[in-house]
Amino acid sequence: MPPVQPGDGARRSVRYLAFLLVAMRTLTAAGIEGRVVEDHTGNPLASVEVRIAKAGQRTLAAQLETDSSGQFRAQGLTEGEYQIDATKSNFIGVTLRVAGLPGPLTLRLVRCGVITGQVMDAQGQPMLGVMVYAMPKPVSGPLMPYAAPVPGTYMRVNERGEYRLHSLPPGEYAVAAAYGASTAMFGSSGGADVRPAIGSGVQIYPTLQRPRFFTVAGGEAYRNVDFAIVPTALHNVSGKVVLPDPKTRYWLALTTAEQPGLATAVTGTSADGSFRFEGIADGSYTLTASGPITGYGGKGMLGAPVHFGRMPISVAADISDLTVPVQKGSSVAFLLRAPAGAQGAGGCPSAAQVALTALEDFATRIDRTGAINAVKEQPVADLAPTKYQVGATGLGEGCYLASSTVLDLASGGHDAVVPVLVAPAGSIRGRLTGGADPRAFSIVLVAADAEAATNPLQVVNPDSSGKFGFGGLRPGRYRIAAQSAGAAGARWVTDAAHMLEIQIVAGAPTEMELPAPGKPQ
Amino acid sequence: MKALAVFLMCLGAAAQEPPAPAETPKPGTVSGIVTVAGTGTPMKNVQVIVGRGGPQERTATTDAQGRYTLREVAPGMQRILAMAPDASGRPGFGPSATRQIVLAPGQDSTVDLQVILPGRITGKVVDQNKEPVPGITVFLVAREYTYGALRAYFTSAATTDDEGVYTLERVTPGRTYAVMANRLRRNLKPISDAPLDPAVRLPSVVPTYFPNAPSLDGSEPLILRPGERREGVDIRIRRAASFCLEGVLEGNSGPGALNFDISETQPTSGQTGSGGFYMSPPGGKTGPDGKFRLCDLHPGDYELSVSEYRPGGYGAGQFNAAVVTIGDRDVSGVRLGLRPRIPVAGEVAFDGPPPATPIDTKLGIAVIAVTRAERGNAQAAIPGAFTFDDGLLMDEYGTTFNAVPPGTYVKDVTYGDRSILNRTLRVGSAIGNASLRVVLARDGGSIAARVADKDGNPVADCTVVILPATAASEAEFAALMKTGQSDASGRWSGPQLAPGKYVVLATQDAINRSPEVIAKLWAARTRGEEVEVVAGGKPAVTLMSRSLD
Repeated sequence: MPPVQPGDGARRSVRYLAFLLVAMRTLTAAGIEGRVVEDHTGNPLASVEVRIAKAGQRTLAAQLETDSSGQFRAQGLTEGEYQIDATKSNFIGVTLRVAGLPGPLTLRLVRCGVITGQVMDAQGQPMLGVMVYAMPKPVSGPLMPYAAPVPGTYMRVNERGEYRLHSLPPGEYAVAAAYGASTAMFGSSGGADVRPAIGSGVQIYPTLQRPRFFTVAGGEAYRNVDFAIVPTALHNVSGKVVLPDPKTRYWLALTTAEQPGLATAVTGTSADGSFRFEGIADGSYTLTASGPITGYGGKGMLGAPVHFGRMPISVAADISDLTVPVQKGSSVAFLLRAPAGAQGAGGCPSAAQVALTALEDFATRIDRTGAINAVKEQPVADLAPTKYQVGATGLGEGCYLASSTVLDLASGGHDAVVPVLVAPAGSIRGRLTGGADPRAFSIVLVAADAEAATNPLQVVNPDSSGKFGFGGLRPGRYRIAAQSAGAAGARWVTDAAHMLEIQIVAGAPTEMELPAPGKPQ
Repeated sequence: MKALAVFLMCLGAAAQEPPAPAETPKPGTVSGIVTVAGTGTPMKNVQVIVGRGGPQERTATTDAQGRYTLREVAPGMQRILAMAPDASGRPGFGPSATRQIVLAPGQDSTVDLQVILPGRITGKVVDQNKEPVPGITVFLVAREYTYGALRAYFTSAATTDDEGVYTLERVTPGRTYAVMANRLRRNLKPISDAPLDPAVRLPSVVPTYFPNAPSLDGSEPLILRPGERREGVDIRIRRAASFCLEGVLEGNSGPGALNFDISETQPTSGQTGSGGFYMSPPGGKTGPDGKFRLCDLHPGDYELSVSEYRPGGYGAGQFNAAVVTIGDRDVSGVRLGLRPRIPVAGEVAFDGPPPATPIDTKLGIAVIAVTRAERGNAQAAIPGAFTFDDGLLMDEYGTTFNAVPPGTYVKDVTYGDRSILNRTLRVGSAIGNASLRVVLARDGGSIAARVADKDGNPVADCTVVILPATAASEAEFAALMKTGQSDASGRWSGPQLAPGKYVVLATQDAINRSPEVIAKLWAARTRGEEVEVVAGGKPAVTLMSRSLD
């Protein structure tokens, strides 16, 4: 089952929101009170920020925190409709909309997951400089790290070789360790210490062929996810990049087809274009070159005019005579497209930004953005010979990318205009079946697409006939389940096996029937 | 004797052969062991470099026994630099050590280096419910005299993890630090939705110094030993009433969509003797009406700034900043307008007649904002005019001078009618089209120091400190202090100084402009050698290395 992925850096405190639509009732008391608990244990949560906003008001009616027993109480409120937000770092938050409550509320916050372990060498000594990544389980294709990783979802091991991945929202994750002249090492220091017999590489836990996926449904803590980097037959790969004038430094990366998102090894050229990779294991690789390099900060920074090279190589012995030609980056035109009638007020904008995310690690900054509109195609230049995931930003609220497009420039340029398809939000119209009292259940919807992190978890209560609905959904994959609404131990989010996967399309409702569980889970 | 014999043989050969091109002096070899200072533990994977950045650069990496060998090293005065890997194994990113040597032609020299390991501070940040607080920024704060004032600077930072735990690396041993926790909201909405009534707002997080102090003065100072891992530096963050600041940002044609930042006035980003540390303060962008309502502010002083980026996104084209004090209520009606870059020109002049022989070098005038990474550079003929081509943002700058001609010193710097020598340049503070005036003088002298042990043998790599014999304050004392390292012959020739009395010291202790070190130096003046510098003089002084304690 696909995971929910963390969002961008602006959401690094994991302030994900869930929406709980509570049946409209009359506000009779001059206050709102409740209790916030941890979803998977039911334990009270202290220091949860609770924000209470009255409909139609620009400022909050109250802003407070839960006490040590998880309780909160806002007094002096006048009648009306309110929205209540409850958030806490390292938890998925919740939002309620209420219009009067007969009694205290109970809100459930889902704790993020943790994976810890060590990276050691064959002698049991800690491997320094290794970067460890949580990699979400893909629907198809190879494992990829996050394009915009959130702190906690990757980290460099400490001096004891230990790592601790945290802030992992519900989902499934593989764990990868990049060692030697990795992009993280080379990109942060401009060099790397490649140990003899260890070399450079990327290891997936426990093996690349059969990665283990760690399921996070709330509060899981996986320990002893340990790596052992063992010696293997290693080779040197050297050659020369045919540098254009003026001759400056270029960076090169080796990637594999199985693991294109994390380079096996990175190196730089001398002023004459010569380069040398050390400690490369047998295998087939893609060798990439990019430059000129003007600096580094996580990855190499590229100056103008940008040139790239790309060639396949097979390593079974030392290679010393490679010649790597480079050519200018390519340019591709993009056009913003929306269904008829979708553009305009409340729908999709007529101008936005295209965001191109490389699906291969060149160890340099090759992701690109560019302004696009619905009238005339707009070029984006300096593209590398690789595959790019086409995304869009600046679409405003209620408009989303309607399809997942991969632009393949690995074997050359792309003359045709690439449409960037956007569409209004999707929705769900559903009915709970098989339950004696539908109101005894909550319908939980978990988004599975990375970009959906704005609202990854939504909860509604069906009416007496079992009908329920979700609106404003970003198109993509979701997991949905009916959970018991009243039981104290009833979790909102369970493991993937107990939830149904569905696909939400843009601009149209998805009709569905959801069977009620036999007993609360 | 052997060297003399070789020399004579060469002379003999030269007498018989036709003139040959000048021979390159025979290179030598430098080898040794790099160890941990204090323990003597060999350090592996240390990069050892000589002639760094030049055509004669040679590098080597230490083996498991800490040994290195640099071959083909050019003879002469050489600085050997050892750079250890950092805690995560990144080569050259850890602590370093240097030694200066004089290498004779063909000499095999043994140079051992001791690397002082940095310290590390770890701890946990909790709230009033003793709950761990993830995502809190924890700063290492150092105080230092810069440009005539004592200021507090961030020197490092870390972020708490999901368990509220932080780790501050690269803590300089022997230096006094404070540790402070604060919640930085990176992207601020221009219009906060905080309640109108302060009574129903969530209390704001107050920058809290270890262990639980609201100000630097109440913090517990931390001084680490080399390589020390200080644990348990736990901070319970303080809370205070939360207030809002409302107003309008104005561009050149009235209110507009403009970038803003807001942060406590102290500590700040900036440059200290151990390097620069810069961190973006919380900020955002207003809407087209320029209005802002910034909340979650505890009582205290803040700097509110407005800026507009240059075309292309590099740096600020226009800027302005103001200090706002939050007391016990909301503040409203603030208006802050952009100010364009201010043309700053000036002249370099001599105090008295210029030298008979014209000076063909140029004086470099560099300014760097005290709390930001904004810089400016200009060059001037001596004497002559200069200008900062792009103007300078209306900010507070420190000023430094490069390539001061031999035999001269900077006697004064004025901006408008006010001296800013050893003080800051507040661009825009002078009336009218005020200019800078840099006055060079030739009536000074210098001091030739030699550091020796009790047997008269030279002591290399020792810090020589020249202090003014009198100063109005510790800040002035720190500003006038000059330092240098003794070379392999124990010598250091100080810069040109104004005429007057000075005290000269030599020490192996770490010297910086922290108040603790300045206080020690102030007290140690009586143990130094008093020297009078007169015009054209270069008094010699021989020093023994002393501890400042």
